[in-house]
Amino acid sequence: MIAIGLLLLVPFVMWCGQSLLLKLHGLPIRYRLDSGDAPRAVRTWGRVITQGSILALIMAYPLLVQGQSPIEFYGAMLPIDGSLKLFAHGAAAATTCLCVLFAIWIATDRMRVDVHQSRRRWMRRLLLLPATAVFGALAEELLFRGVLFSDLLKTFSPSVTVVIGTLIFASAHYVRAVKRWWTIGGHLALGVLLGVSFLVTDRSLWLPVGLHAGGIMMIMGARPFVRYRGPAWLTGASIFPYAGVFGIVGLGVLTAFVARYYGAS
Amino acid sequence: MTREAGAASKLGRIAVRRGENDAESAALTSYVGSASSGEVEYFESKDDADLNDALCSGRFDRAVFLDLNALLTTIWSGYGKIDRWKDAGVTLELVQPPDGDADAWRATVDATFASHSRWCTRQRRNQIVAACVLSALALAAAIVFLVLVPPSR
Repeated sequence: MIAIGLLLLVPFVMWCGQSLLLKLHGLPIRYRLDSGDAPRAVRTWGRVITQGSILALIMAYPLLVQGQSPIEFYGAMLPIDGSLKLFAHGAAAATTCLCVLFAIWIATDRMRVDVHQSRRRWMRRLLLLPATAVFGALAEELLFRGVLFSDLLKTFSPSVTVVIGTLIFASAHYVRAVKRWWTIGGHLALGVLLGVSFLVTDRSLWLPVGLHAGGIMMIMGARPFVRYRGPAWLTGASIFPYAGVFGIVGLGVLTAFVARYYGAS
Repeated sequence: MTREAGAASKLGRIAVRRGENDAESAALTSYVGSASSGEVEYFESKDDADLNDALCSGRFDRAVFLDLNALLTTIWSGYGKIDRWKDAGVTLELVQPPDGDADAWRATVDATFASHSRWCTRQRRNQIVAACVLSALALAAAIVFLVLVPPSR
């Protein structure tokens, strides 16, 4: 339960940082975490503060709560042995699912292949994509599965942990002001998948990190080249193809596959 | 498709794309009947592929559509290769041309067809590239599953 308290500190730190930055730029304080139309420096430093506070939490939890070094604590969840293959499996599973989904949308004209970014921009994005995907997935998995799930499991059963952990994981994506709220269903389904994959592999982070990184790679990799033609409730939109009805059903099928395939091994 | 022998040909053989209902078909029949014509062949709207083949082959001199919508529907469906119809010497006619636009629609249709053809070509190319990339990724993912066996617990 300590992890939930620590997690709640993150938006508080983010809001304090945002208020300070707005004040420094002579702008009024906002009650919401929303820097969309703020000066670039406010947005950039806001991101630095967010990532810095997440990193600080990831580092602090093992030291303060577990009495272990971060390397010792997370090393147990990321062993460098045969279970490393789970990372490749996770990435391959996410890639397969999204390939099928994208192929269906393209075949049914629900998604148009249309390069809408400059060559320079999409090439830079693609070059940075593997590192962005792996680090992004790793940070979220260390936070939500490594810290939150591990802490919740001390108090609750695995199934209750999945429910609470998923709700917190999904709502964390809406702490900042967002353009779309209907994507919450996709985040909930994704939270269940990642939570189940963590539990059925004996609390190894390799499978959830692989699934998460594979998903980011596919979605962000496709982004400069496709346009969703909706309806959004069916196909999802922007970077949320998993939030449409088909995407959520796909995540459900993938969750069942993960539970059956890795849970039985 | 049905074939009717008309009066002695003045403007040659006519291909007519049938209407979607009785009123449209009546308007087409009346138009074709009033015009001096030779052999008339009717094509159902579901047989646009046959109509296209017939017009491309040069079997007809005139092609009659009810209105601009009927002609454009044939183009959108991919069976209205009007550049090839023109090469075969076919003249397009509309029973109900756009208001106040007795003949200017021909240039509009030509430009629309050219634009649509370019768009379709680009779209086809993009889809082929996307299909190749997605297939390669799915194949790579399948190889990972086949080659890397997860550790037993």
